[in-house]
Amino acid sequence: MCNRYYVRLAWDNIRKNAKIYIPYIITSDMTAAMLYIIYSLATNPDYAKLPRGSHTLPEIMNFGSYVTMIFAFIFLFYTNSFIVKRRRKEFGLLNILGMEKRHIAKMLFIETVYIVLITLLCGLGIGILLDKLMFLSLTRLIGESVILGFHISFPSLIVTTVFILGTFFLIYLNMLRQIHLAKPIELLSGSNAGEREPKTKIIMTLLGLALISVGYYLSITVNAYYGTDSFLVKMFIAVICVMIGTYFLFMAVSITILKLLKRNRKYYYKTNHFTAVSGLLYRMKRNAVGLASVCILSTMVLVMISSTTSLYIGIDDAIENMHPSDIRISGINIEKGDAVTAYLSDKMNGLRIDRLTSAHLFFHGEWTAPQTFTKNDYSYDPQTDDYHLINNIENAFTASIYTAGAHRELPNTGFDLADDECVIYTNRSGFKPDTITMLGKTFRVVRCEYEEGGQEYSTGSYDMIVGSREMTLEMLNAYNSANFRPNNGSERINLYYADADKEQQETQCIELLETYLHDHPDGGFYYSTKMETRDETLSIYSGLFFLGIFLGTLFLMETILIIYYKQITEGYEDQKRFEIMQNVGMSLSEVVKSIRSQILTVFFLPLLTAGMHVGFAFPLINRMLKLLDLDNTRLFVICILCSFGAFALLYSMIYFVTARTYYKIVKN
Amino acid sequence: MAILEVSSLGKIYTTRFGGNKVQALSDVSFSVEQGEYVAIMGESGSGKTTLLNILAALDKPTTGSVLLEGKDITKIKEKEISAFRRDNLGFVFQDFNLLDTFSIKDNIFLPLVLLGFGYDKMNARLTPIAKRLGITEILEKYPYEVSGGQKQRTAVARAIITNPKLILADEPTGALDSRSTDGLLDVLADLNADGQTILMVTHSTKAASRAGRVLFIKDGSVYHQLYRGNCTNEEMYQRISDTLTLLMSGGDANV
Repeated sequence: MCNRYYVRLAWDNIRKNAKIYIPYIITSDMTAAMLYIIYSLATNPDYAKLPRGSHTLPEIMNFGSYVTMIFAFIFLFYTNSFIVKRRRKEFGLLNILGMEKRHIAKMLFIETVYIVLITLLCGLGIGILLDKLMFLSLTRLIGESVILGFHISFPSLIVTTVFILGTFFLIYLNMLRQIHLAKPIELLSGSNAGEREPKTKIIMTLLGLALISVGYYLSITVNAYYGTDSFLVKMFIAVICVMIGTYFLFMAVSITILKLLKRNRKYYYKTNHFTAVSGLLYRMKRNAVGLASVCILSTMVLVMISSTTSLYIGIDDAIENMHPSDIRISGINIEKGDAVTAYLSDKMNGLRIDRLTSAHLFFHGEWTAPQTFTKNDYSYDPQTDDYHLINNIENAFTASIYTAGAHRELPNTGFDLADDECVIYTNRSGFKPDTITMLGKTFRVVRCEYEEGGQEYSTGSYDMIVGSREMTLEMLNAYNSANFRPNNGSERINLYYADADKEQQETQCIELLETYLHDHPDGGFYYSTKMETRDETLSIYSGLFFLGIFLGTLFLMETILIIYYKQITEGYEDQKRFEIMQNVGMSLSEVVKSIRSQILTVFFLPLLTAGMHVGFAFPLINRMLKLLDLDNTRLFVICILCSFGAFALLYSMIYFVTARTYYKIVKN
Repeated sequence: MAILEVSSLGKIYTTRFGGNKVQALSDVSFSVEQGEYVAIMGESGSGKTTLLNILAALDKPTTGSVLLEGKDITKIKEKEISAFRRDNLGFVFQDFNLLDTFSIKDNIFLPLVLLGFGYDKMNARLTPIAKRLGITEILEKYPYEVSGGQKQRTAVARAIITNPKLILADEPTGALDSRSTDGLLDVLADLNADGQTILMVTHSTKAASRAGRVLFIKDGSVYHQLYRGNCTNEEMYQRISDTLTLLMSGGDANV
């Protein structure tokens, strides 16, 4: 057979199967375009022209391009498996009509070449066209003015082309594998092999429920105070549990529930429930994996979009949290702090200076009354501390005393405290005193928090927040005069500009600080400004926001595709069932009603489950946002509700569009 | 009394683009008495299937009428047709038409569930029928687990559980081996002996030879009919095959 014949045959095959190929080709086009764009954004030279803060953007985009590649690969593979499943019968027929498997392989190869060519041409074309627009939206997000100029990213062209070629080559090999493994008769009978009623899988059901419960429990209880590492590990465990649990939920739990309903004769043998329950049982079995995937993808889209949107919108709150003052000088000791503040207040008018002192004290010793440790009264007497005699590390402890105010070292120090009040963070879980005596001064403990993760260090650690700088200094002096160790206090100096032109004051203040550092090489401090922090944070949050929307779109596209193929597959399978039900005396409208209720259930189950997942993920993500300095629960709730609403709307639209295709097939 | 009266039934199909008209039925008239067992024979394309579809109220004729107990089923409103079929007709198909999502028992219950019966009432009806058709053992199984003959007996059980006035059977033995065919034909004859009216469309001489009367259709009209009278099944078989030979060779109607 001549090659021209194959070229025509392959093209005809794609055209004949347009119903399944067009969405596939659109997806692969869009995937290629998106990969081109994100990689081009990662390597765009124009970042150099952007002012400060933009150096983080290429890094975020680079990360995004890896994520895009991984998911694009999985998605394209997954979509292709739908197509092969649908075309099995066709391959079987060609096989029986005399085409050998190698001929089929040749035909498939040419088909794949067609799809790759279309993907590269359209995908890269769309990518190049949209690239500039995306770069402009990104720069708009970080509030920079528009940079004009058109450019084609050659690195990105190469990466995208190689990725597409590689992926489709592997897809092709996978198709060959499936065809070679099968006997023609198997190919012919293909999709309509006798389907058994699903069995109740008790273990899987229980495991699924357990995994989801564990995930939810972790999400609700995980605590982010200090232990960032353990927080991330627990978060990861929670996500994995819920993901696997979701698959089990759809594969086993749903079937167990339906089986229980079926066993209830009063419920089951009702006109409305009869066909629905038994139909759902089969639909759930066949679609469990697809539905669980849709559910997980939806959850990811919702979480990503709502959290990144919250970050982007809530940026001012976050800045206020991480940098409350206009300029901050940190890591300076008290004497040098005196010198700098004197220098600054001398040169600049209207500058408000707020000094937050902290004292870091190390004790080697025992509590005066170890036997009364469980009582509500603790005290420490430095006189009994014999530095040289005691070598038991468990008796050592550190105490840091902070002035209430904004400290980066502690998550929350914004307390309003009287002189004899304090707040304590400790890594000793049994420690719950009403009062504490430290260096001869007794404080009422207003609040005592246990810091998770601290227990692994044997040294006891007590962070004490007191009401005023004077109090902190008093404790520091008491420690120093007790003669254990050298002076160990440091300061965080918050500077606030006057209300007038802040940018001008910032320039002046930075100039002064630089001059001072130049004149005093041993100045021993570093400083940061709110405006700089804002620029940098804005560029990170904008990058994440952009990436959230970008990946959200990618996932959404795949969700739509899975749903579309599911509807088509179901349509063909339901055709016969439709006919039979009409033959045994159901009217068309009754049949449509029965099937619609099943489809609606199957269709919206993933959305409802995703909603539930997002609900339970809420505390976890909210705490993660707090780690990223966004402490605005209301904003996050609004963002979640809005993204869920928008997503549900979009999802319903997908339903109505794909349901039309479904009914067209079924009523044929 | 005639339970079914078909008079001058005609059906013209117009092809999709309006060009060709195909006359599937030109002028079919016959009647079926209460308790009769009628077989309709004819070659492919003779109009058998069209006739059966019209009798089953699945299709509308171009001309003529079909009276079931005096009621013209071609005039029934679209909305009421399903209910009408459910109440009055029972169907047996060549390819069984069993739903693979239901157990054998639930397949048989389907029309009753649609009629709103409770479980106990359904079960009370099922028990004697299942026993009579020899499917009691397989009630909990699924269609893919049982043989063709068992599937067809299930379909018969589903057809008679509503006590229909008329059973329409479309090539009921078409997908069965000879042993299952004999079994099924025995079942149908048995039902007929109890007074059930049956109308069967078939290719099979063997199936038709069990009927009380055989109608032959050719080119869209009734060409001939044979009454059993006092013939045995074997004699009936012989007469039918003689008629078929004549039909094929285009000979005269008189035998």
